[in-house]
Amino acid sequence: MIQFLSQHHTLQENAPEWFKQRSQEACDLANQTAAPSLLDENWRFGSINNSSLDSYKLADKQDDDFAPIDEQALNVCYSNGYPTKLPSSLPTGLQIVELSDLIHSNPEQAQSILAEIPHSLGSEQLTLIHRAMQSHGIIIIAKQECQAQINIHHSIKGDDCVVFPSTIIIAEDYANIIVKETWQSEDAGNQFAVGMLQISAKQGASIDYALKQDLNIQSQSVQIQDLRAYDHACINHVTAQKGTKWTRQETFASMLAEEAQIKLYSANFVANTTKLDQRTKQWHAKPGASSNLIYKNVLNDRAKTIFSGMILVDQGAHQTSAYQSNRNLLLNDQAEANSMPGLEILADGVQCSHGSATSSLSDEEIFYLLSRGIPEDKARHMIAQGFLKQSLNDLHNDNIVNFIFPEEV
Amino acid sequence: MSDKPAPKESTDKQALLDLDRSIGNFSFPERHKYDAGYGLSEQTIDYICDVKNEPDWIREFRKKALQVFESKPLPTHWATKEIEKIDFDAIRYYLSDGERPKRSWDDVPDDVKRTFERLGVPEQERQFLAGVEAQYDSESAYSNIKEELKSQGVIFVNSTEGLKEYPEIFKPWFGKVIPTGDNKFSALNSAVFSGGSFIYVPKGLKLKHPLQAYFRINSENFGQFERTLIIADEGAELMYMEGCTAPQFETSTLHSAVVELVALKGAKIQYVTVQNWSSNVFNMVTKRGIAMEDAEIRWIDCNIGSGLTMKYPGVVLKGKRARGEVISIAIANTGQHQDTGAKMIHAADDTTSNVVSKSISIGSGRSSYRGQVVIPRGLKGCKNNTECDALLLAADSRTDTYPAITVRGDKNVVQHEASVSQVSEDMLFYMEQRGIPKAAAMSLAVNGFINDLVQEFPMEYSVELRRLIDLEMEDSIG
Repeated sequence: MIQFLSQHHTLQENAPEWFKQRSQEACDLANQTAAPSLLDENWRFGSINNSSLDSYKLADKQDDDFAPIDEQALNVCYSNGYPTKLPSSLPTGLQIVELSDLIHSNPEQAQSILAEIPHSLGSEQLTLIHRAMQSHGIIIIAKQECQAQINIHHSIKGDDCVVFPSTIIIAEDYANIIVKETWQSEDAGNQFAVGMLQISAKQGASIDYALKQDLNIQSQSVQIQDLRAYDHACINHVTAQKGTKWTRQETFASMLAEEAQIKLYSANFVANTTKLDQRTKQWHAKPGASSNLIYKNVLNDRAKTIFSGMILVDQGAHQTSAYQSNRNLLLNDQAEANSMPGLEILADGVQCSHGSATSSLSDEEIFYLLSRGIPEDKARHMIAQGFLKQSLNDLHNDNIVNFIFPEEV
Repeated sequence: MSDKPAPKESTDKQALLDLDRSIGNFSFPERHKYDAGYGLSEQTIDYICDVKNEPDWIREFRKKALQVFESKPLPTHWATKEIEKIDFDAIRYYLSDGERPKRSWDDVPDDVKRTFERLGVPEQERQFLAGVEAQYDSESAYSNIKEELKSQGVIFVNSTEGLKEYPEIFKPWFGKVIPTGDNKFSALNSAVFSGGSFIYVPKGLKLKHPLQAYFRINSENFGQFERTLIIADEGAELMYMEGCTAPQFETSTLHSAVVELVALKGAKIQYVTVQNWSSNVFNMVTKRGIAMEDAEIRWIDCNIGSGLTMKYPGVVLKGKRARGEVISIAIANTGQHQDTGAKMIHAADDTTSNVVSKSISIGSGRSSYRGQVVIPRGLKGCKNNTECDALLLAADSRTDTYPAITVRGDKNVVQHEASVSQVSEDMLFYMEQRGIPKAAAMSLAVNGFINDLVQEFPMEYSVELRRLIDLEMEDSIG
């Protein structure tokens, strides 16, 4: 039994009645919802016990601000889930607001934004727990063709503690925004981050979003990401999982109108005994939309990865084009890569394909670099880095590429 | 024990069926001396054992299997809910006319011969029925091993005979490649199996002619549970072909076979299936082979018809340099679901496997590919290649792909690719412009799609296959 679940009352003491009720409903639902079972296809090859929050307590409030400041961007910082910095001045058409403020200042808007329960792929119970515990979070609303770059930084400090980062991005009217989010451990404590990301792009809006998860090797994280693209809107979604001993990412991408486009990227260097469990779904509900997915992993030591991707082309979603590719590079005899690329196609006139390949470094590649005086360790590192970097080739956004792969000194 | 309910079919319907004599749409009067009745219990198994006069160890094996079958749930957490429609109590688990396997063609009853005629067994082939194991309901109605084969030391018998007469050869491998508890349907088969082929090919013998078995279902509500075990001794080679067709009935029938292949060092086994069940058949088949050092196992599989087929031929690559291959064609028409695939379990160094699967969905048919590739820790030089292509012929056709690939270690290569396509308008236009009617153009395009795989089948099968595909596509092209 999760001990802190009843604490949502104290967290949301000052919240309006409707918000408290929403939390209570989610709490009740979470108690009725079964925890994941191994028989669930969404958990095939996965580790169910890892997703249990039983032994965790809520993270203490932190006021320290650890985040680096980027002059080029609007900076948002959270420490243990509590806001420590919000941008003071905003360009026209852009609204960046803390959840706990919005529920008071504009309850109607907050209610409509928070109404729906996001899609997940196996972590239904965790989604409800997140909803019950949600008391802070950043809400970004971009309109009127505004352009902006926003950095979100989550610092986590403490032991046996859980935080619930929450990011909601809504863009419409041809707005064009770049959001870079970082999760960072500030100490070596055992931490659990359960994050919720909701992105909604409408009317030609374009959102480039990147998450860099850099938690310590003790920690665990679950990321539930619900992406929705409407007419002529475009979402680029990038993740790079650098740390933790166990991470589960569930990305549900919905193409809900013609000409909607979502591209999913992920580039991960997985080492030690880390387990990385990624589940994705590209749901084509309407005809004429497109989606693409490129997920690449480099596995070292005793790392284990699971990629499970599904392209679902619904009835009537003709003229869909959807692609998916998963590539794994194994550097160690003890590493393990599981890949489950999937297709469910219920309409014709579609272009769909998926590919999955798993292999290792070839001796020739290493030899080529050795013969040019590059030591073997460095040669292997260079090839692995090049392999990962290639996954972002199609992104055409140097800002995000440099964020994921900072220049090495 | 027989308590057969009165047939519900109206005479009108029967007349209709007689008129419409499309492939597989025929039936002959039943005459069964032995009938285990409906439903499955310990008594059913005792009845089967008594009739077949089986030794006690088989009786025990069957009873244990029954317990496993009853304890196992249906795999609905990943499989379609359709399988819940199987009514295990409405199935007759054993039927036989009680006649001994025939020694010569002349002794085969006329009605059975007529069935073969409908099946399209060519005249010469009937003369040359070398080693044909023709299964009529549960028992072999025809079983003639050509003297030549016999003198070479080939054993080609049905399951009962194999276990009774040659236990020293078949018992060590029986139920070893596919254990009783592998899945619910293999347990069911282990409990009530009858018929099928048990084959042993001695060391170094390379059979020139394929061994064949034709079988069919001819009793309403009657499941056929044949059991096949093929052992190719060191350096032996053989090709085994099976073709199935079933008469159409109003209620569902269940076909649940178990096929085990054992290829010892350097042996080669090719197992060819062309299946054309009627749309009310549940076809739940477990097929697996085990390949030792330098051995090769190829499953060449064509699935047409049946309401639901679930079949994932597998190869366990147990010896170094062993090779496994699955080549499969599936055609799903309206009301049909072809849930097929392949399993490749690598268990030794330098093993290679190849899976090529092509499926065609017609009307509102659904075809699925479900695959599994496993390369465990500590191996090197293993390679797998998987290709799945799907062709959709109508707006509401459906296709799915569900592969699962596990690779451990950094000395192996695995690749998987799948694509979905349609017959392009350009292609059809090009052909129509040259005076080829649309339906014929469509048929050409479809045949082109599977052409390279059809060539893998023996000649007479590939001809039959093309004919069946054309038949399936009739009236479905708008």
